[in-house]
Amino acid sequence: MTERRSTPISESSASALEWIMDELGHGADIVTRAFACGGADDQPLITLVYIEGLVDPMAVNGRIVDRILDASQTLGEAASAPERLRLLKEKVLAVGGITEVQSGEHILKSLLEGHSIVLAEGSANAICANTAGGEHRGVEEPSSQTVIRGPKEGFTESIRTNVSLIRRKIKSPKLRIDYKSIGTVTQTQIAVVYLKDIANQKIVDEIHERLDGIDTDSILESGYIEEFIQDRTFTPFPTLQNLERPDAIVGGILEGQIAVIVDGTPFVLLAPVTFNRFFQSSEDYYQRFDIASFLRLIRFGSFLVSMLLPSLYIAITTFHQEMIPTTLLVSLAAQREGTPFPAIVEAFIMEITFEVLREAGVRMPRAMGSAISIVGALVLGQAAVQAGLVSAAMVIVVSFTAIANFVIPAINMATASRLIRFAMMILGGTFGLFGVMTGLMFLLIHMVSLRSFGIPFMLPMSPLSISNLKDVFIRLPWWALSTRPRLIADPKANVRQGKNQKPAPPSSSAGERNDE
Amino acid sequence: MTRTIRKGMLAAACLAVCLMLSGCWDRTELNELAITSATSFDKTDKGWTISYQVIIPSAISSGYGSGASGGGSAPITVYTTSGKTIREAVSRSVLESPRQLYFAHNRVLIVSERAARAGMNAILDVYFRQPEARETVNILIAEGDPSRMLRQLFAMQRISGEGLQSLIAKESRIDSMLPAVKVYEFAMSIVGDARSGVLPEIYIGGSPDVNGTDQLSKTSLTARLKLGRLALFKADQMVGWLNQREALGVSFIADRIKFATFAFPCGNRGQTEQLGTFRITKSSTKLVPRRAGDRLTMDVRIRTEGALEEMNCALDLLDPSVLQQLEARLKEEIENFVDEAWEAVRTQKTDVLGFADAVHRHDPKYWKKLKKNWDEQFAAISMKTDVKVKIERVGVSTKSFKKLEEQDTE
Repeated sequence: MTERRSTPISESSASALEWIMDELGHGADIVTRAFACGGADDQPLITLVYIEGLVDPMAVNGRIVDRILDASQTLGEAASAPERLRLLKEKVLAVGGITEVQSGEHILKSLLEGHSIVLAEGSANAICANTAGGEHRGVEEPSSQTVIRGPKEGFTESIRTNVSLIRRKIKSPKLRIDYKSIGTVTQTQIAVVYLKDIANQKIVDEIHERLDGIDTDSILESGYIEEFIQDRTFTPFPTLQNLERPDAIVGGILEGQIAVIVDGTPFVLLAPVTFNRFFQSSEDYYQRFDIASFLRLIRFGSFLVSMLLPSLYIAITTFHQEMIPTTLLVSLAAQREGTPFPAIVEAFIMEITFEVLREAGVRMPRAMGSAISIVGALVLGQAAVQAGLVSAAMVIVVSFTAIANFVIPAINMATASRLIRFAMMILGGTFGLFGVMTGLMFLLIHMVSLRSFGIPFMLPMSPLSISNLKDVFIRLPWWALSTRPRLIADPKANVRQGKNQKPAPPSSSAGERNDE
Repeated sequence: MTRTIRKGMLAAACLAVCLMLSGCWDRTELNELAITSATSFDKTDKGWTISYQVIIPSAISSGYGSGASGGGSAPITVYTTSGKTIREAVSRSVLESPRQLYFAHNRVLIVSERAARAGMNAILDVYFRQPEARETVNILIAEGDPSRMLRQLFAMQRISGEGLQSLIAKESRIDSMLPAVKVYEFAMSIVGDARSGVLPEIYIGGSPDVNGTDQLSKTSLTARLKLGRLALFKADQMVGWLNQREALGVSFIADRIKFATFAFPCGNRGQTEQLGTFRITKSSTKLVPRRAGDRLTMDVRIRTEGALEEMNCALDLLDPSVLQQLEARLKEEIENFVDEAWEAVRTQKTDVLGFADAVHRHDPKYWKKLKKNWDEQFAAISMKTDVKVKIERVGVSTKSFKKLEEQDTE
């Protein structure tokens, strides 16, 4: 990080302004406004500087310009420069966030953050008024993490909006929001959000330490932060969650997790995170517990399918034909008649084709979306089979794998299974089920060794924590989830709600009692 | 950092070498396999002749959806090879089959009577020695050339081997006359105390053989695969046949009855022209050996329940005494089955009834003495039958139709 210099502000407004303009390269979007306030025209008593587009014009015009013009008489009559500054601060400027700054660097930083700077002739101090605003996207429905039942609001690119969305959900004085800026050039604002006494303080300190250790020029998305602070880089599994939904983030915070908001992206990081969290949707907690549990099992099953189905198909059809029921075997064999490549090559062709189609679908302009789906369905599905390039069963396997992949709520976990799938296919194609099992074994060993901010990645399963299992593969009804997950939250803040919350009809109605 | 990278690359290189060393050594694509659905064994003076019924997948799959199964190419093809030993004969198949014979989906094993009389040991040895061969294959015995059975087509089952298996499996489940015997069951029974076993017979009824799809286009096939008699085995050698009536009796004594249907005379004693049909739904047999000096007596206690399925006598089935009378007639009929079976197996001196096990369990010390010449001892046993039949249901109609008719005329 570059050394913090401190340049004093010139007492002359004109030279101070000159210095600012020089530093910022005389940008056309830098607006200066001089107020003579009874002073000489070439030596205005008060000067306003701000950057157009970063400020809220209503605030600048109404709260600063208008007020200074109204009070120009009083300001002009002020005895000294410090007195004028005090007047401005206390009487004139109708802005909430006002700070007095002494250094030029501070002025530059504030300007770039959307503050308006008020310089007073003869004073070595300047006033920063927080008028940050400008154009940004409003709160809309999240595009990548949708639910049927639940709040429809999503995070935006503005860190202020995002923090307020969390604040609105947790009306507790214990909610802590620690700001810092990372990136020597971009000076991106980062907010670490957690609940004091519920989040484990050690983990909070660890996150702060890792964030402070980042020395880079730019942070443009939370992905940058994720790669800098995650526990292990060489793993297909993500050890931080990113969420676009305030309700999901708040749910995590209430369980003792810590959120990291990065300015400029709607994806907020959540840590520490365990394997099972990637298979939970915030909707699980809004729907009835039975269907939520069922859907979770479906998701875990889909993860296995998405990771293993092609490799199992290859392994069984090329090594273990005795495992297939005869009728199915005959029908598979009939489909394989006349297909030119071995099953493994066939599977690779189809998988790669699908990955290409998927990538094309993401990158393509939306207007061409339907075109690719037609081409994809025809090329992948029908024509390839009819031309005898691939067998119909392989198309079914690949498409089911692809569909299963979309079931996993967390996209970064879904991509993990996509990558592992290819390795498994090679193992299945060379060693059969033996290879697939070996691969799974290595995978399991690797997963057990993973940590997310010191928390074991496979937490409720290994090390086994029976009470945490209440909300992993199945979700028990809300009244049964009386404690927070062990190890993640502060041990002292274990209890979440009262016991005996199970609803029940009154033991006997008043009417019956009267009859006796 | 560079050290970890170098280490990782070394590990990756090791793994890659492993792949090349061992990779894909027993990989077989589905279209390199000749899936065998049935095999037959015949023995001549020169050695073994083995036939394989191989499924042609494309011929089977093309029939999917469309109702017409007639015409087109045959769903199976049959290879025949010979050799001095079984495996030698099998290995000769590479000379004529473009694909590797694959036996994991073999369903039935048809052994010629000639080979069965010579001894089953060689076949069983091959089945237990080969990892690929399944011991859950059904064995059938055929008189004459067994490969004829493999060439025969079913009208409804595209894969004839599968058809043969479901034929015998269904029969043993529904009618209990001929047991479905798998390789391991047969092997267990011939090495058991009694050193004997039974196998069902398969034969082709009618002629000419249906071994082309053009013959399938007719509504009635000229020839069909049928289950026939029961072959008796002493040790691994076949010694004779039991007819179906005797086979049912054997099933009664050996407690193999799951369901069975048979006709019985329902009129007064001596009258045999009026018949009823009884369906057994539950039956159990207990063998109780008793020893008096050197004489061995076997009590065969049969407890049977079932339902009347047909009644041609004019009887009032609501009357308990009538039912008792019927039960007595049923008892006689079952005793007849059992006696006939007993006579048949006694003359062959082949204990396929499970007597050896019963004696062994009842009196292990005495069994040790008997064991040496059990066949003789077995033939000398006097058998006592104790049959109890219970008619649980008489069907939806309580009176026979004949009775109703008589009432109207009165």
